[in-house]
Amino acid sequence: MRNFVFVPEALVVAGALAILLLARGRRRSRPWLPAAAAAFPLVALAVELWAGATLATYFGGALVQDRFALFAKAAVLLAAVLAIAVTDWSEEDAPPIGMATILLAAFGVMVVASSGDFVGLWAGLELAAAAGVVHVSLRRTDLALGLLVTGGVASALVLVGLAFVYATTGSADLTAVRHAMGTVAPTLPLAIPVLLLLGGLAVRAGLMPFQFARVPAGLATSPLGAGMVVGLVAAAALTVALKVAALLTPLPAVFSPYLMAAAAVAMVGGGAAALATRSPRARIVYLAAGQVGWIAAGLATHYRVGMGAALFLVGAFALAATTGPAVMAGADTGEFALAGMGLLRPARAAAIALVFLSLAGAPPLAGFFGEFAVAAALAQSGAFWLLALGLLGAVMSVGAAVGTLRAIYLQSPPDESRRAAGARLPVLTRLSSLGAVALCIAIAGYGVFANPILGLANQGAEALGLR
Amino acid sequence: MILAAIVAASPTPVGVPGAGIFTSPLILSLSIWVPVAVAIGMNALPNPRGRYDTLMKQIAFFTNVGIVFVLFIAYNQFETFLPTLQFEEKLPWLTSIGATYHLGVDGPSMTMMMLSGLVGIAAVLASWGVRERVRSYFTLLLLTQSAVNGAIAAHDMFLLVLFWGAAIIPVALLIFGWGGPRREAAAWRLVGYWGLGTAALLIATMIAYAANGGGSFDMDVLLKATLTPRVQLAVGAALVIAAATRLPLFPLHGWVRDVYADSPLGVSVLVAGSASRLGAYLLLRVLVAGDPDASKLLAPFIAGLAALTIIYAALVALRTVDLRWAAAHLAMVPGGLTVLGLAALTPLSIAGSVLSNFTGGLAAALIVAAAWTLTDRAQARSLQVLGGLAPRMPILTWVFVLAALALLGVPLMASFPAEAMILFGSFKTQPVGAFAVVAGLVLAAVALALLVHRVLFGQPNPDAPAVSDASLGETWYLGLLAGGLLWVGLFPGGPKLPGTDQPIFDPGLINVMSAGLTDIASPYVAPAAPGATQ
Amino acid sequence: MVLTPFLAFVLAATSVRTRRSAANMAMFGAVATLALSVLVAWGLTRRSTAFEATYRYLNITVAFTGPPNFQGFGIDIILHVDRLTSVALLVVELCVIGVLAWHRVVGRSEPGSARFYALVSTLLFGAVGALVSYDLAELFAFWGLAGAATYLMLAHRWTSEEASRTGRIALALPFVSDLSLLCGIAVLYSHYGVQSISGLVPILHSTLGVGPRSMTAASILLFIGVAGRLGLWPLHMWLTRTAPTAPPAASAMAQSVWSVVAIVILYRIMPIIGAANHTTLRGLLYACGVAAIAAPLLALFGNEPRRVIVLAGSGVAAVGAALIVHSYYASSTTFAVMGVVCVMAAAPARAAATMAIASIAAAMRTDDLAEMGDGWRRMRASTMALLLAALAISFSVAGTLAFAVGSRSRFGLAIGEAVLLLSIAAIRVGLGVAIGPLRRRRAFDPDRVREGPRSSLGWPYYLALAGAALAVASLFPSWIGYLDGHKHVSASAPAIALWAGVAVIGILITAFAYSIDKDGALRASAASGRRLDAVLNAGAAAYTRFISAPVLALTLGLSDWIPQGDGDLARAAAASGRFALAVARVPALPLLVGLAAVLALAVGLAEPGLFR
Repeated sequence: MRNFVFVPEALVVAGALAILLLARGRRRSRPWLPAAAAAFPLVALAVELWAGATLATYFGGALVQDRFALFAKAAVLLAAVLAIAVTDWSEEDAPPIGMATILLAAFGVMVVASSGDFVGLWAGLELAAAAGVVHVSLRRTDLALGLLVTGGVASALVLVGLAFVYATTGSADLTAVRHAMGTVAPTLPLAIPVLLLLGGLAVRAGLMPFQFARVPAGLATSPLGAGMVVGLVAAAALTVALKVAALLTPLPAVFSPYLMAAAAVAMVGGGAAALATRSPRARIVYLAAGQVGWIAAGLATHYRVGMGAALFLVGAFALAATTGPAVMAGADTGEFALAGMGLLRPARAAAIALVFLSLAGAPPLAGFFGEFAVAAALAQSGAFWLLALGLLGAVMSVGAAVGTLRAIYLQSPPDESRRAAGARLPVLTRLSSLGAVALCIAIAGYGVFANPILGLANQGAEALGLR
Repeated sequence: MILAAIVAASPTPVGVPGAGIFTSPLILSLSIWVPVAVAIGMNALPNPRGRYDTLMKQIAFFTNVGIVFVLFIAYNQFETFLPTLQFEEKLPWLTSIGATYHLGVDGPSMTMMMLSGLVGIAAVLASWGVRERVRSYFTLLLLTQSAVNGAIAAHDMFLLVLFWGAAIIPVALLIFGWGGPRREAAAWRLVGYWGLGTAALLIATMIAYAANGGGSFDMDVLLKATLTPRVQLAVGAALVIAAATRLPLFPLHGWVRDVYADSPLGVSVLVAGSASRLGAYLLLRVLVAGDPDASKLLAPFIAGLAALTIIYAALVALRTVDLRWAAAHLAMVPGGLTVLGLAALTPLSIAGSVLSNFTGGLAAALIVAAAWTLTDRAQARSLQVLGGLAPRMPILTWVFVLAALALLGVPLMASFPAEAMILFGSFKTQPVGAFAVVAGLVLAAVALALLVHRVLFGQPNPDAPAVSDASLGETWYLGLLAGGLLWVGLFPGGPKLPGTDQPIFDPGLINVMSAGLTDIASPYVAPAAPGATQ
Repeated sequence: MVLTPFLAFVLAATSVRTRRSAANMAMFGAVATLALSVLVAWGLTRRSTAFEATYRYLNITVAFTGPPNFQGFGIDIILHVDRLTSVALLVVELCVIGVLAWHRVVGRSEPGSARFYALVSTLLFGAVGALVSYDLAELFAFWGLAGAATYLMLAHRWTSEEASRTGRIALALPFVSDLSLLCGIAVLYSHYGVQSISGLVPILHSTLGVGPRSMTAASILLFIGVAGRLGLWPLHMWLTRTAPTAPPAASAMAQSVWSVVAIVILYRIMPIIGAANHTTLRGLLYACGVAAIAAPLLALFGNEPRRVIVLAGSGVAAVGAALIVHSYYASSTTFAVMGVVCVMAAAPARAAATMAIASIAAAMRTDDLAEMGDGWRRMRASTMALLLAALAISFSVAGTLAFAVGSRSRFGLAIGEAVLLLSIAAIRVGLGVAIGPLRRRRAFDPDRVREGPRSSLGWPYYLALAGAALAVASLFPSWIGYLDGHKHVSASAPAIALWAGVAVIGILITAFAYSIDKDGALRASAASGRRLDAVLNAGAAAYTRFISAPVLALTLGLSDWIPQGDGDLARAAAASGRFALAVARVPALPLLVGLAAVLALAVGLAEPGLFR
């Protein structure tokens, strides 16, 4: 069983490479390619769920397979499968490269999830971010460049932070660092690099107000690209943040206040921005930003229940934020872009509705359960002011989601001339319909089966050494 | 492997004996999830160009009838002397934070379930005239009903928050999609106020949860924990805000006017009849039953809110020139009365509040629906246009007058015993509030008399548009609401054959609602005066 | 007996459309109730104990601990008919039947006749129910029902603006007093946990924890509740204002039925009111005395004949109430029944006078007494009925006062003034109509004045006779003893002569004044009435300006401000959202480079040995 643990990673990478090679071949339409591309992470997910419960350490602790890794990998693989399935590939600029990049981004998150030291964390994060940049460059090289430079600075901040932590503790191994942190006093020289590290991660995760390049890129790139930048790359950064926060739990003073402030700004700002904007794509980006704020709030509680809740919410977030832009496909520009979708594409419309509601934290969907768990953790840590701000943001987010649902189900479809103006209907394929239905089931089922999933997330938090 | 674990980790409910011969452990889940399942099923059905719209309406109607039938059996088999929860369902859900899927009903909850069932049928009948996007409309209506039923049956604060918040979205969409000219304002106000209320409820829940050590959200644990008075006060204040946004109470009533006046009729009936009653139910279930210290501390404040609500609503109804706006404000009156009983904190006033929540729901729905239908049939809303309609719409005249009498608690209407119980129970503990509420009732009576005079019996307006009386369908749902008020008013203890003391057919709402009341009221029982005469 | 009028109402409301069938249905209900009441009364002549039947309306357990009285709550329908109640029932039913019979002839032109007759049945149902109630909650239920029916009857002429305005007074004022009754009952229940009158009276003084303040509050509230429907000054306005605008039958029934019901209920709950301290009773007695003088005194101001009749009747009711309160104040409770007897005697006469003056005013086409006259010649039957009713009202109190009140006490003096004034008030209407010229006016020819339809002429006369008969009966101790079950010694002839003499003096003064200069006397009344109206209008204007208008303005301001406020909040949320959107558009690179530089500087400053 131990040898099967890295089969999912291998499958994902192999899938990505195979698709890239295929793309080099003679050009002809390959309608089966998306299904094949989705099959790789699907099988990988099945293997992960079958064999992922095995606890193991590899390469001298550089890679570990624990409950945390199992949870994060399963979540990101599910997100990738569903994103590939629901994507309207006629909207994508270079479908094979798009499929390969999302698989690579997923691989990056998997590396982060199972990495046992700083190098793995950084590498995985960079891999996921690079995949995102590549995908964005397919449509908008200028935005890709901006994303690259911003990501570079963010990466530099992360590296500086990691280096300082390494210098303080004398080790890059997460377990060793965690032990060492128990003996270190919370000082300004430690707090500042931690600030740098978390700042870099915040830029990567698009935690408001650090959504500099992420939002424009998320708005202007292809739907799947937006899903990658807003969902998978952010998920990678949040996974790193989870591991880093777990390291620093003995010294909450050096990171908790910063995270709380960032979370407050993100939760309120995300909700308010989502309410103010008219574009469905922008709305989903800001709803995602708000939910990232909730995750940050969970991390700020700096104890196991909070971290477990944050991890649980990361799963819900990755699922919704990655698939959201993809499932909207081309029908995401302007206020009326989604008008009448409920009539014309019922399955896809239901998936869009559930994604919006989940990101807004509306009951009884995945996002609600995650945010409720985080709220419980916040209450136990006494951060009621943060909870109140989060709820304010959640109310505004629900208002924004209601606005989108109204367009989907209550407004009449625009006439063809307006469709030509940009609001193109997604192409209807069997895979996309199946994917949309599966996405609905996943988002609803995340809440129905919240008990074992949250239990697994708590085990994941425990695996990070939290008690 | 993990999937297997997931499936294994999803337990199945077990039967709960003790609720008469009808011992289905799923009865409450049925009343909550059947509407959801039917809603999903309706959307799966093909409906090309609305060919099966009538079928959709029939499906929604018979779903409600079925639920009411099942609820009526449960109501009939309810153990009126059993103080514990009945038809209980308890499954672990988020065990790591202590949230469970815990449903159960005692007397007050069963009363609310019956109210929700009756109002549900009335709402569907009131929506029979919907022509556009019929499937979406009834889907959202059924989802709203399931959320209301869930909030009533919930015995875990996590579930309560879930269902409480879940009602917002379908109601808002219903108003957006099928509302009147001011539907934008109505829907956004509803989202804003109800969202604020949900946030307040969640904060109250979390404060109690944290103060209790974060073990469980189950009401049995959370509400029976010994919290410090300070914590109870914080929880109580948040709960009052939540209840005030939903019931609503002055000054958090901003949504009432637009929602009741500009929602589609069925939605107005549903919101006024059952969804908004959850506010008072929350105060009873969580504040009064759970936080005695906070209840006692906040009682004068809550009584003041109740009095202000009634006086304000009556004064606005006196001055407004829009019949629907007037009815919308008058629909706040029963809520104020109910809350006075909960502020008085005597066993009798609390019992009166439970009954008043039922009768108030029917009365509020009736006045809103009567005003809505009347303005619709008269093709005008302005009191300057409407006049002398009684001869031309006798059915609506009777219904409107019955609604007015029910709001005022005139004898023979179910609201009379409720009003009597609340006032009889309130004068010792909240005399000022009780007198203020009585003054408000006088103002409400004057406002209603003005409306009845101007609209129904006043000088007919020759320039007004043509009018017509209620249709058969409208008569049915209005009759259902009015009939409920009259039936409970005539037989609150159930119909009895002369010379017998055993009710037949209907065990009596009063008897059913009393189950579990004594437990809720026990902290508020006055100590027996030594040597007191019986 | 109780349900018959209710069934008549249900049938009238559900199946009857035409005026005639509605009238027949209401009449059938009233006659059937009368027949059943006669049966009960006949049964009571054979036994001294009351008939009593109890039905459980609702019963609920609300607590298992605490005082036993408060562990449960129930409303029992206790139907208790003793001799006094049976006579009161007969009087009420006679009044209703008489007025109904008169109205079905005279009130042909009234709109919404089916509604009116259905309401009459409801009023009778409520009145009968209230009269036989011994449970306070049950009493209020029937009381409230009768009150609602009364309001709808008095405001029956909706299409007239004046009628609807006075109808609102007929709703608000009695509703306040009705709710005062409810509050009184509630205060009692909240302290004793008992609602049955018979159960409450024995424990009034033996229950611990009930202070004198509670009892005083309960007593005052109960008294105001009854006084409102009794029409005591200043709570009489719902009768005086509606008398000219409401259908005469409605006004007649409101005056006669309610006075009997209210005085009987006052007599029944007086043991509870009497349990309050002496000061409270004295206050109530003074209030009754002032009302007994003020009402007939106000009747001398102004020339609206129906208002005058109402005020004279209100004076009789106040005298009756004063007799009941005084008997408890003076601890001679056996005389309490006298108050009931005099009001019962005046009730049919009030109805008769109202009907007669309505016929006369309609025939003479005026509501001004100064423009009426020569009725004895032109409308003899109606004028005769009016004079007889006026005499019955004037003398209704004489017999009972002879039993109960000594003429040398201050109370006797006050009541004497009241009797004098009310006899003047009552007879001035009769004489004003009967004598003097009926002058020609614009579009009015006195020679065209005729009596109403023959079939309507008898009923006012019969009711006036019934009132007179009851007034005469009040002179016999056996009759009073039959009513309250106590032995009474017969009143002395001088006492009777004295009190009757007071009324006679009043009548003679009026007759003298009218015979000397009727026009001058009526001009003086009109002038004083105008002054009174001016004072009342000034008061009403002050109320509107200083209380009503500001409160309504504040409410309307709030009702505008609240939506505006939440709208502003929504706009603020949108503005913050736009700000958040703007943040996303800031140039990314320079900001990040700047941030990195700042952080690097901070690191450098913080790191030992780097810059230091």
